[in-house]
Amino acid sequence: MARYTSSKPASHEVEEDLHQAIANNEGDWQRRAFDEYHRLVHGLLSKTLGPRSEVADLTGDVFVIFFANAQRIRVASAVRSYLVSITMNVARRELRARRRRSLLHTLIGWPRDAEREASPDDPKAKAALLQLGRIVDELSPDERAAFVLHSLENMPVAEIASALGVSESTAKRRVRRANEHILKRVRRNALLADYLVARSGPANAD
Amino acid sequence: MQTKRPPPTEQQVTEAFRALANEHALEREPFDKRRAWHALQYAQRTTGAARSARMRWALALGVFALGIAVGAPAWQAWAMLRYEAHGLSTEGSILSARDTPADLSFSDGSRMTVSPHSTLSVDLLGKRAALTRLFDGRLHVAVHHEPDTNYRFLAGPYEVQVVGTEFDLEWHAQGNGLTLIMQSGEVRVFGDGGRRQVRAGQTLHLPTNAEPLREAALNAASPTPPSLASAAADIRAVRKEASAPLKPSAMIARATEADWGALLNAGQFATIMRDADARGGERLLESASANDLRVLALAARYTGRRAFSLRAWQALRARYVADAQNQGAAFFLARGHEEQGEVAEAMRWLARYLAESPSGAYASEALGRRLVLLSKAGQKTDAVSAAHAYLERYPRGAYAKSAQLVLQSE
Repeated sequence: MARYTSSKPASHEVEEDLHQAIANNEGDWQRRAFDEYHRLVHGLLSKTLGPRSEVADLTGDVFVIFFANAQRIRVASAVRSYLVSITMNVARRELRARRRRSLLHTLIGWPRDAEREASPDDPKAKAALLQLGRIVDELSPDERAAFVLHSLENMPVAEIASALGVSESTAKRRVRRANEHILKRVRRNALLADYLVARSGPANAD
Repeated sequence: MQTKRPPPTEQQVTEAFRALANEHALEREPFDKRRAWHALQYAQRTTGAARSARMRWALALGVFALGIAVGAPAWQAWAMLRYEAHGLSTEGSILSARDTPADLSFSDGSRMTVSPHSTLSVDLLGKRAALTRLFDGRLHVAVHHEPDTNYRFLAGPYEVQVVGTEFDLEWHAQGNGLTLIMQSGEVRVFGDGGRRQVRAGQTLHLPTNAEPLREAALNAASPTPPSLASAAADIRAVRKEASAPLKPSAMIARATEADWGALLNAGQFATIMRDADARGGERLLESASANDLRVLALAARYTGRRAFSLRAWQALRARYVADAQNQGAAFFLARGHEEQGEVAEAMRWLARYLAESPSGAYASEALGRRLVLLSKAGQKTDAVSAAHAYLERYPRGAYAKSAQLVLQSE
């Protein structure tokens, strides 16, 4: 399995070259960074925020922040983790803002934000994704970020801790809580549980 | 018909979720990356512009806040009169001079010298305007003149309005009433339903209540502080009212009494003592009138001759029992002994004063001093009962805090 599922990890040479370009402020380094990491950032935001968000705008925000601060990166291996860290901060900020908006809308009696259709063409997949999105919405922004990085991006705990700016034990705890919550909620929904089992194939020893 | 499957494992849920999320993310990925890049460049420009606009606003707000923070006190300092008090104790808004003269220096250059045991309050009303209430005691005032200067002094029922001048103002609600000795300039005095102009060199005496004014000694004289001769002349003029014929010895006594009284009012304590020494010093105590003894006792105290002062008070008590009680001799004896460090004697005289004049003019001060002395002497039980007694009678008095401290430390 790929280490990062949202994009192929850049090779060490590519990261070195990009870091060199950033350090020397070469004219095209921003475009190169965008091309290299756009899929990663977009995927992370899509998975963290679900189908309802303006992921394109937020992807732009992430790169604007990255471009403004990339000169601070000291080593080539930190380019990717720095970008992931910015992405998750933007995602958590968006989640918190979304909660505030939701609370405000509840207080003043406005209708909730309309849910967007999940993109897969398969209606069952669409329904499953929407229901999973609702379950993930119940997580706190921090747990949600930890869950996305760990379960959907296969990121090691040490990198999750670094990206979220917490200790490894805190990152582990958040991942465990998020997984427990999602599993409990999925098991309560027979249709969703059946669909996920059918889709994932036979279970290994759990 | 659907067959029931076993509940999904965490791994199954995670893998299925991951697959769905990846599909979703891939499908939502922009088809035209070039457009996404252009959108990003636009966002970067607008974000940069917005950031610089925010920074400009933040800078403007910062400068504005700094201006307020620095400008408001500066404006207040410029627009409002200020003063510095030296040697005055404060109790709320009340300023009191204890045993030594004190002074107030105002930011416009005006000054007030506060005689010992005087009590006043000062309200600042503008850049060159102040309202002073003289509750008791004596002030020497020198007001710096400017076109918009407005200093007002309230003493009992009277008000003295000043534009720029120098004068002495004395007020005793329980004694001689108001005395105003002008040294330079001119003031207006209100309080009898009319207005009086008092000019340099003139002296005005007014009774404690605002009856029709008994104006006295509005003689033109030098604007310098009154000398013995000028003060005597003033007082002789005052005494013209009492025109009944007197025996020569009585006339001498009255003249001396009047002279010293005026000098005491003028704060010329050293002059009184020099005169007393020239007339026989302590031997005078055997023949002096009750008022002379009081004047001598006070003048001696203010010139630091405590032993002389104590002997004068004792002579007053020995020879004029009723006058001594009226003048609070026991209280001043107590203060004199306290100043000399004779605490036991001070306590004895304070107790005697409070027994003789439980509601006298100095009762509050006597109770307060007794409380302080008991507390300092470590007599806790007596101090606590004195604190209770003080707070019961004077809950907002000058020694209320001391009393509360004693009760708290009980």
